[in-house]
Amino acid sequence: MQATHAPEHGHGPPGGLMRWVTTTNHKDIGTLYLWFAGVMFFVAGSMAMLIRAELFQPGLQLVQPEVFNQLTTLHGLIMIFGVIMPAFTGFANWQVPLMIGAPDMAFPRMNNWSFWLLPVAAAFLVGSTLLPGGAVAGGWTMYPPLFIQGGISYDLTIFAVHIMGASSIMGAINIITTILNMRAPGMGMMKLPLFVWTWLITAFLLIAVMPVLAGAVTMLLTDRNFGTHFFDAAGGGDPVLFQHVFWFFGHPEVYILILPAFGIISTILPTFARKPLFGYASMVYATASIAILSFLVWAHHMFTVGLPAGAQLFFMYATMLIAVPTGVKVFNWVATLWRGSMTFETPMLFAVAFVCLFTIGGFSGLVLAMAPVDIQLHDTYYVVAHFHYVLVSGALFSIYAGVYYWLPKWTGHMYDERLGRWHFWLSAISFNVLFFPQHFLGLAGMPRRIPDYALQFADFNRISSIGGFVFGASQILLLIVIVKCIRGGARAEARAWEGAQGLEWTVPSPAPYHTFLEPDVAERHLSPPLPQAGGPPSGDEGRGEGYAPELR
Amino acid sequence: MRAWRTVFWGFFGVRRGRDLERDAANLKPAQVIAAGLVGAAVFVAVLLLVVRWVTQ
Repeated sequence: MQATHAPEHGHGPPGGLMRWVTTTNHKDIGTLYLWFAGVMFFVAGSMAMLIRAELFQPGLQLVQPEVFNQLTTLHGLIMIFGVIMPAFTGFANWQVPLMIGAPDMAFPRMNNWSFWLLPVAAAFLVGSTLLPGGAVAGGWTMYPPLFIQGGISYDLTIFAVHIMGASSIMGAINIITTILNMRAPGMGMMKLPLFVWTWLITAFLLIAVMPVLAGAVTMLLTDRNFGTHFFDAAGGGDPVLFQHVFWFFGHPEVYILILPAFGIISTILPTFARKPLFGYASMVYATASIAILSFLVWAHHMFTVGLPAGAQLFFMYATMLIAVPTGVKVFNWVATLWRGSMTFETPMLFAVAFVCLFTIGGFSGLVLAMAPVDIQLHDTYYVVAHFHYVLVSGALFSIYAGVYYWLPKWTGHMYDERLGRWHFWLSAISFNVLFFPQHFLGLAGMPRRIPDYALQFADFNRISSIGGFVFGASQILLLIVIVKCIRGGARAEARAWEGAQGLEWTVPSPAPYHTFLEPDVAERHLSPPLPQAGGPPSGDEGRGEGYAPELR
Repeated sequence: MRAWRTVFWGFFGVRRGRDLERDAANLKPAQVIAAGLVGAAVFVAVLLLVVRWVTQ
């Protein structure tokens, strides 16, 4: 029954730093992605702390407006391209081959290359703060004319975006090829774990829209350096064209940032509810549907640029309709929990918080989808609150849930549950203190991206900043939990969670350096057919009281 | 025909488990992708008609 080659067979990793530089192992590269995302999270998080410190009270205290604008711009760019996307790619590297019974990713050397491009891009972005004129300050959306007028750091940012785009496209090609070609015999497409499905669809989205972003920033680059006038009205160009091209990338990008989160949550909820996922088929179809619709809604980011009424109505209707498949997902998650034998370990806590808080972010999105309302709320703190509910309590909380869920598989140790719960409760409460009042600030008219504000906004900003400091400080707990878990702790079983299903739980914890070298081994684990019903018991059966096997 | 029905339910985001297994057995990916693209075009056309009807 040994599903793997142990490292003693001579396939172990080389030692030292070169292991990480030259590695082609999907687990090593997954680890690199996750640590990179972790480091960048603290970099961009520190910027957020400075932003909230400056906004703690009216007036200018800590930073000058130019620096403030650099902080908001870099915070956005790094959190999106340097934290959320690499973290999800890290999960994909670790989990996709383990979940489908493949020995590695399809293109291991390209995998190494797509990771090592990222630190270069990050160095450009962060390093540009030291250049004359400071870092980019035109907002993460890179709109002209501001982005055409800036200094050398704007060119570096364009280069960084190109590099990160290339890295994402290579990662996506790798993931698609791995999923389509390297599944273990017996692992049909409709048996794929939902995390694999969501990543497959995300990867197609990445390949579709990353070149669009590359095109948009290339046009910026030629406008800046080679005398073209794509976006320059004085030369016959149109700055609004940039917004159309950018958001044709940008809206699918929103789903690139959230679909893998849906996959992680759809993996964790069934485990801790001890029930199969409700509506597996609906989930796959809803994900595909969201992906297609995501190309048809881009101009809802641009209701205030002067679109004709017909176009506003079209994008308003399309945006509202995209809520239907998303709503289907939320109902499926709730139905999965319905009458489950639930326990609330840290991954489950974060997953339940995801379902509740992401739904709030979804609803405020529906509010913004209405063109007349959006014209009032555009570029206010209401928008800031909305996308932080989607990206922090959505994407980031799902990453936390996934880290806690798979840490035992990655490290071979159980994490400190008590610290994990502290991390959860501090994060969940302070997150709401931080972002919920921003809805009120936006409704009252406070614009985003300003370092100073009128006196009537002072109270809610103070509350928001206090929430921000607590949220920021709580994230140090996560680092402590992870380091503690790597260094030791209770030994994790192969199937670390009683209700966990799927091939990754059939290999020992920590997962050996090489897994599923013989495809037939995976095949043996793959019956009965449904993904959540697959995977045999692995020695820790009968551990939990109150577990109802008929619900599996 | 089967591909059209699949895509219709796909847009809505709901599908019976039994039908899904039948889809997986009977449909080729190319069929579903083609039907999906046509479905997206039909979706856009319907929305444009609604917009036209509303603005007239």
